[in-house]
Amino acid sequence: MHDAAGHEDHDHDHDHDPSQVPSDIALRVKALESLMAAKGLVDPAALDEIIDTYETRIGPRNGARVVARAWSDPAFLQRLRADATAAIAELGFGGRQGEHMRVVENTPEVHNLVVCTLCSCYPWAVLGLPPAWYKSSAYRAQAVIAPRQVLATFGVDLPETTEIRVWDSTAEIRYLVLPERPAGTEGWDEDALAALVSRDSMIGVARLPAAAGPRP
Amino acid sequence: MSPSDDPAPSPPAVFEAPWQASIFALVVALHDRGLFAWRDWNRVLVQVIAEQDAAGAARSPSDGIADPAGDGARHPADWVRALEILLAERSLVTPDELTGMAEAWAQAYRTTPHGQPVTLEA
Repeated sequence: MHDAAGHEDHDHDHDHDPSQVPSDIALRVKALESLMAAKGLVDPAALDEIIDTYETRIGPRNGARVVARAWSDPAFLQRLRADATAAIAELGFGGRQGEHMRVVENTPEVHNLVVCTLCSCYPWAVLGLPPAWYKSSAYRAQAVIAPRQVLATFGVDLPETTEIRVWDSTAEIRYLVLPERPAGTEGWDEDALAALVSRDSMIGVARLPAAAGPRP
Repeated sequence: MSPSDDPAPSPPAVFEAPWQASIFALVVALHDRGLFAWRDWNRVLVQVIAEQDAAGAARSPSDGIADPAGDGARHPADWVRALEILLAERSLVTPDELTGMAEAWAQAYRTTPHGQPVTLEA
């Protein structure tokens, strides 16, 4: 039953919780998808491609607002560290499924990476829809076993001295990576900062580049 | 798509849940495969919306009946119903198949420990 995700040596206390059953409407969509795929009428990879096409209109950019506020307001950052669910709610964003959010901060010494074996464990109310690769078994398995190599495939090469922490989202706790504020953004307002924050940086598979020019 | 076909429907400005993106992608993919024209899709969707509206107050305005975005996109649940009807009309799927498959997925979720990929047994 165990796949190659290395769960034995990873600290899991939720291995035996049943997976969350999706809503009836979501199950009907899954039924349509799998029947069409079984009949050879649709290629699941083609569905992922179509969804990726609409990535920019998928989900609110709520997570980026949270990050921009955290960079701009030290008091908010403190509240975010203490109780991310409540701090995020201050901005009017809530988990739709009652999940608790936890924010993990990137620093020059520590890089955080989020993985979950189920798409239902992705805080899409905050981050938008998960990218197709996030659900792939290759990502799920490799992120736990060999996070440094996974990051390299995303073009993120970290110094050997940087510690990588892998966070496995559960049905109860969803993680949001707080990326490092890019250099060259001193004095930028929250709107300008939020525009820099990518979805992938909040999963931990991207680092934000230094600002390329003056504040837009 | 033939040149005389109706234009493709617009997706909503923001998908509010993963299944909403999935049903949109599925409808687009099946159309691209040539299984139906957009005019067929629109006919069934109009029928579904009329049935839903006739059914009355079951849904609140926030469910999309009022078309708050103003872009013609209706509630994605209507797309799900419309696709079920359209595929059944073409004998591509039966209601029993759909019910059985949905239950199989529900069962897979219930019996798969968290942390494992949820899959249907072949």
